[in-house]
Amino acid sequence: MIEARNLCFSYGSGSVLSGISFSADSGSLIAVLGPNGVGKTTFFRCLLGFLKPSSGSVLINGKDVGQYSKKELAHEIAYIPQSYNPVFNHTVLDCVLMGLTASLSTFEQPGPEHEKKALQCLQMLGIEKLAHRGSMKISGGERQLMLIARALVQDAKVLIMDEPTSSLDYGNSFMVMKCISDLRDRGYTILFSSHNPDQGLRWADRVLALRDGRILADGPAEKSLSGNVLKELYGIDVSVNNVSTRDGQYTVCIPLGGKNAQDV
Amino acid sequence: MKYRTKLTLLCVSCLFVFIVSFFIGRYGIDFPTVLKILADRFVRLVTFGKLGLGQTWTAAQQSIVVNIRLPRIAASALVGAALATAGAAYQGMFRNPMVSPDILGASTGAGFGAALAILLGFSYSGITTMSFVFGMAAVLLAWLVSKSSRIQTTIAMVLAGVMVSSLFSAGTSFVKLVADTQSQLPAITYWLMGSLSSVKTADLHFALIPILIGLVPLFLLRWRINLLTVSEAEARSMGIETGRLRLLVIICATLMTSASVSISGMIGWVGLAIPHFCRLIFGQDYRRLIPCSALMGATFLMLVDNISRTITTAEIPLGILTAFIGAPVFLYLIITGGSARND
Amino acid sequence: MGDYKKGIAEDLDALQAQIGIPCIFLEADLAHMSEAFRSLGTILADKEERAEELATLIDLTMILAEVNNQSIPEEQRLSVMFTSGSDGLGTNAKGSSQAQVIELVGARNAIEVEKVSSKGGGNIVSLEQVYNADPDVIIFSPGSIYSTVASDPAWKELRAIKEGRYYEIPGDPYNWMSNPPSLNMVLGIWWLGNLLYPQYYNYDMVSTAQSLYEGLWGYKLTTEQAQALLAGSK
Repeated sequence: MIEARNLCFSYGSGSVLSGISFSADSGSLIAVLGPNGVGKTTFFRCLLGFLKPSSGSVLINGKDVGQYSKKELAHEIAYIPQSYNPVFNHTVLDCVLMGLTASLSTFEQPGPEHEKKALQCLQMLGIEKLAHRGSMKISGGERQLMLIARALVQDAKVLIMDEPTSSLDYGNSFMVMKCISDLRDRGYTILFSSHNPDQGLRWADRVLALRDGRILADGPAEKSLSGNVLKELYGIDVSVNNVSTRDGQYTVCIPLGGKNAQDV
Repeated sequence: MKYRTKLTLLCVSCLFVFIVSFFIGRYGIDFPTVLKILADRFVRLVTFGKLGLGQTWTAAQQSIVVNIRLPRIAASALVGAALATAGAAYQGMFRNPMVSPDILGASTGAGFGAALAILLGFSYSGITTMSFVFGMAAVLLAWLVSKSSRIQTTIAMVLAGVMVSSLFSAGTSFVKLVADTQSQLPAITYWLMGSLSSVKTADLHFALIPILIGLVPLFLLRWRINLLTVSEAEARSMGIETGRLRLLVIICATLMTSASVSISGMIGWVGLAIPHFCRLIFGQDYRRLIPCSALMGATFLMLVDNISRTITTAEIPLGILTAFIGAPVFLYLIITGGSARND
Repeated sequence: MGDYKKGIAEDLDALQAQIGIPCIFLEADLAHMSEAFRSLGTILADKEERAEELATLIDLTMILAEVNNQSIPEEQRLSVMFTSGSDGLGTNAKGSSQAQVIELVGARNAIEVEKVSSKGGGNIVSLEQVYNADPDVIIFSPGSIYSTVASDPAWKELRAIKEGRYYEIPGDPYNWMSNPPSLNMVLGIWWLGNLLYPQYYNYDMVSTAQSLYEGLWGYKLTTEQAQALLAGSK
């Protein structure tokens, strides 16, 4: 579905990404992990077609991203920002409708069929009752779901999410990640970046670990995120353990060191 | 109340104020005569002059209704609509509900153009033309400066607008300094305060074209203006080319603002306060905001002009009246933090 | 020299202190003008004779105006609108110092406003007010709309325009009616009087203009020049 082939990108003389190659099919949820400044944002921008790679290519459904028109690209791949701080209190429905603009002709105004589609996307995420609420009056978690709905309405099957839960509390985080994994079950290809390897372990099928602009690890979460990988990524000692819960076995990681280290 | 109902009420109010304005004026003409003259004009307009009502009124009455009141009322409606729509569009584009149409320097530039024309002794139509030209030039300058800057576009534009505004404002002050204090300086001062007292039919024709050229595209693209309120990255990922849309908004808003200022002088607050009122009543969606700002702006300025020409024997400049009304609204905006209830 | 303003004494005292040159104020609206010139003559020692000449001329003018003013019967008094500006609506209303010539000459100022402006541009009125006031005569300052007013659809239904009773005020060396309100107003009296009431102000304006120019400014106006000046007075 989406593929990067030997993707390289540099700003001027500084190289940010080198030799990134990976691919993802439909129905996958991929966590992109790495320390600050490693190039996750640049990587996403290349995938979205915002940046032209210095060398290598990005392909969506076999076609180079640079060869899609902006409108066509919007139908293939969508972006969900980290947070949304609206200046104007548009309704949730209107915000979602904005995602449909690419499929409208220049002077066309959205009609009832577009509103219906927007409502369906809201339903998919369980927030249709918020349709006529102001976007400034909903919670952070609800807002994030609204942004996802806006991406869905574009008919894009590849979703790029920039730290989808970093501005959310624990409960809302869970709710949003649950929705995202439901979307994966429906066949969407989702890449999300995170500062929390636990999120990768808990939710993602696959993890893409980036370090110094290269792929450090690429594979299923439990296998790829070993203590060594995490140490190389973040520079701290991490213990990766299996935990039994009433829902089954989960892998979690816990950073070691600090003042409780002496207590056993 | 549903949107449809509110919109109808607004349209009806606008039309009502338009008609009632004809009855207001120092020279007394009874209602039936005014209506007959208007009806006659309308009939002539739609039948291309072939048909008309039999003339039962004096030539002076006709002249007053058709050559004095009509251009004035139509101009206030047009200017009100233009300024309000320009303000609404700019507020969306700059993602700030406290922006006015003068943010890129159109009004200040136009004011300078008029002052210069008065100083150089131009005729009435020369003043209007010069004012329009300088209004457009000011924004062009601001745009060119912002394009060649490395700072992010929106901020660069605002800064360039501030620079251009102060430049032309200083120019106007200089013109006032060297102007003849007996005749030119009072004329410049009065002009700058905003007035429709000497609007002629010719002015109306002059301003109608740029204002329509500005209004129509903004109306047709009203949905897309919503897209300008989200970040550039988001808009881009939704497949929208915001750069071109921004440029179009600037061109349209500048045409409308320059044309308005060239026939009416500087009238502030309409572009700032009217869109805000509309947001409170109609919500944030630009599909509604554009037409409603236009209608509300027209109604408002017609009402203010009515006040201006009746309250004292000498005319009160429009700019002063709109400031008396607009400043409290702005104060309210500041206190409530610029956010509005949603519909 | 000029119209009295409150605080002028203090202003001049301050100026005098600043620049070390004696500063005097002489009230010089038309009523006080001859006296002002006589005072000036006394102060500027070697100009006494000249001052006396000017003062006498002014006195003569004032007497002319006064006499005719008394003689004109009430029902014959014409209402005059004195206006300027690129839109023709900057009027000097009743009571303004710029319009003093109108009343002195025996006419009425057609425009009355609540708060009279003392600025050169006058009070801005609306055309509707002009229709309401229905002046008998309209006099336009130079640089206003005298030449275009007859074809302006908004103006041409005014009685004064229809009857052709509108004129352009001669403007050399300054507007004869005012702006500035100074010696040129002397010319204004002779001119406006002759324009409005030729049976009372009975003289040939062309030659009168020539003698006035000579008397006031020592300038010999040729007949052609005088006629050109008076071109807008027909």
